[in-house]
Amino acid sequence: MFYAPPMARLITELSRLPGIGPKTAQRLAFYLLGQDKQDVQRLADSLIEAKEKMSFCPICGHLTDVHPCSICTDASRNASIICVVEGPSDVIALEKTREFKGRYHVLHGAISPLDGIGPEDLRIRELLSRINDDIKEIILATDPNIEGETTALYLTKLLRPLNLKITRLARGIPVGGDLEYADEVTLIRALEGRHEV
Amino acid sequence: MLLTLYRTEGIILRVRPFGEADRILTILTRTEGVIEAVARGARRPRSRLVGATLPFTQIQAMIFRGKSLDNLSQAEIVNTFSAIREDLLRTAYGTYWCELAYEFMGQRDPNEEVYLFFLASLLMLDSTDDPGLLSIYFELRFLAQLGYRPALDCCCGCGKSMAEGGAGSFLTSSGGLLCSSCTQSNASGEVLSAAAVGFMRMLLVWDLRKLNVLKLPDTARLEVKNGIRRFAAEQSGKPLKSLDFLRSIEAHM
Ligand SMILES: [Zn+2]
Ligand SMILES: [Zn+2]
Repeated sequence: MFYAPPMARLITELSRLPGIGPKTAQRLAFYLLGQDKQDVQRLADSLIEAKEKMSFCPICGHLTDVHPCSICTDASRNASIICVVEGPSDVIALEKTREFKGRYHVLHGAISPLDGIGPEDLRIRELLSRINDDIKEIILATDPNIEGETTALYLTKLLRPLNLKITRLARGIPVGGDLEYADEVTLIRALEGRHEV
Repeated sequence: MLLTLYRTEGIILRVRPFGEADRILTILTRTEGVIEAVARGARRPRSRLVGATLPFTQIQAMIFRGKSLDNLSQAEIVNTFSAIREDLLRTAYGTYWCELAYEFMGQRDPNEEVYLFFLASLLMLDSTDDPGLLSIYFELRFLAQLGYRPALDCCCGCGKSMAEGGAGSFLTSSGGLLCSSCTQSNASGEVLSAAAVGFMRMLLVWDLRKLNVLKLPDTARLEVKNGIRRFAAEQSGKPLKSLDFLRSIEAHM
């Protein structure tokens, strides 16, 4: 045992965080112990406060401290368009663009049969219950990987009979990328998604 | 440590996120069997590996052999099988096949014949009008090639020849068949009609390329399909995870 129990416990807790290995956990622990007590207290308080005050919006599933969330209650937003995403971080990413003025629906995951995650594990029923005559368009903004694509295909089949406009985010060459370095799949998708200028 | 670089052809069976931007791939290779390899940075949109490291994709690869995990250095796409990925039912079949492959094939146990069969089946899945029949064929023949071959020639209870036909019980524990009289004293198998037994026997010798001319009644097809799936689940010794999803797609879509 190299560490006294309180230090060992701190390192253990830190190393449970994603992307933090034992070495990084150890470095963070030494850093924290070198800080003033009130700085550490502020960090601890913010962890507890965030955990206590943040939860999922009952309508869209986004992380929020008010219920429903501010996006769902913002009357200036277009309530007829719902953008379906996998996680709350996708909402943040899209909000940062300031381009999208509709509402969101967070699925909390994507279909991944090999991990035993099926449609029933996602917030799909909640999505269906939000669809009424006022909803005109559903944007499928799941990730362009196999889980995201499978989820989008599944939702398309499910929503198709409901007489809505269903759209999928365009996939193609990343801005700043080189055409010659793009792989075949990306190039095909980019060609499919071309538009008139 | 000396790093060995090898070149091989492979089909991506499974992709899992790893670390900040990496992927861990399970690859069925032509020369090395099933391997696991890290694709560094493959989740970054600008990575040259991003499109080449998706399930079902056939690649030509340069791989560094590592202690536990190999490291994918370069990958060139040979076939993307995009029609599979754009169709929910085909995706569900393909995913189940991939799970069968990594559950039933040992790691680093090369089997070129099985690789080529898997590849031919994917090519077919990409274009067939009847993915359901193709999957029955694939499931049966893939397992048979790996040594899990149903023994349909004679009754495994009394030894009586079953070659002239007749109904029987397909034993998912052993892949054997019981004649109808033995079935009465031992009810542990999946009871198959004479048509289903005949169909299974035919599939074991049929040519993949001529699958589209094979016609058979829906009931026999369903019996064989359920029998093979239970056989696979029992032989793998654990539930096959992607089967629930496949079943729900087959039932509702
Ligand atoms: Zn909300
Ligand atoms: Zn018998």
